[in-house]
Amino acid sequence: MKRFLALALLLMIALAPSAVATPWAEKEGYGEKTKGKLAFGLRNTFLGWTEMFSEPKRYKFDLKKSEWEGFCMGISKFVFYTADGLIQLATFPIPVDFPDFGEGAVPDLGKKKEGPPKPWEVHGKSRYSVIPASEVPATIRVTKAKSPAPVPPPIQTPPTTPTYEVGMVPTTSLAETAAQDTSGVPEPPTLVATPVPDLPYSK
Amino acid sequence: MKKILCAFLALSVLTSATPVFANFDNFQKSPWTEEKTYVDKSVGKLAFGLTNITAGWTALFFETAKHGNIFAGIAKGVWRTGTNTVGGVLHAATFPVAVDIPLPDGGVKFE
Repeated sequence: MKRFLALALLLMIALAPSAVATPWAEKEGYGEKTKGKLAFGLRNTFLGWTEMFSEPKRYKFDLKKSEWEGFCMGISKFVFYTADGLIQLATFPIPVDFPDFGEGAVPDLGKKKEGPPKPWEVHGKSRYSVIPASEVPATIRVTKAKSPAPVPPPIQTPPTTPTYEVGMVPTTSLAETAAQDTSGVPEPPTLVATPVPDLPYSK
Repeated sequence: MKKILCAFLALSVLTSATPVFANFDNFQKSPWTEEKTYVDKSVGKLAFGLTNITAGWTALFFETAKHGNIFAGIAKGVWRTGTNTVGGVLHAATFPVAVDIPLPDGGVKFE
């Protein structure tokens, strides 16, 4: 009876694949697979216990559930992953993915993280979250406006007063002459170089 | 194994047949049954069992506070403590077998 139950249990585990395949099973070649299986076994054997602490954070921040439920789930995963790691460690020369428990403990170990960090990853490090500048709405974005280039003052030419001689007929009317009269425009100040007196501290 | 089966039998008989606890009959399926794969179901069942074993006693205070009648609340709390704890033991003991054992009110709930 016991043998039958054990056999049935083994068959259930063997025939039921997990949602996510074991990472090393996707590699090609005997060497790569055994190396991946050895690393996977070591990681799950020695780091399976970390699920007890990572799961409560995931439950609290990601699933919005109780941390105690997460802790119990962490103990459960710790048991499963450690057993999985021991089996995979003992059978690493045989590249057969059994039992297939998915990514296992600490799945992001050695992987390049994509996207912004999860809330539980920054918990305890900083109370403030960093928002990339590209995600800040344009309405509250403060940019330093460029100051306009200095415009040089217009060069003022002295007004030319027409000279008339006796017998000539002026080509411009008096009104136009009055409009062209720019005597009201103040002339730019002239700079006069003045000698700097000798100061006692300049020597 | 025999003790577990006896406890399960006693629990099911008490919960379903006894008129005193007839109004407590609100069995709900366990949350881990919504998982897709066998491994996830087993992990969830063990976690659910551990949660009910460790936090089943909280029903004693929760039910007492929830009920208007303090004596009825204490009685229901004691009953819930028993069902949650025994149910948790059953879930944890049978976690490799992905068969659900519904608990009254769905076991321990953190709300």
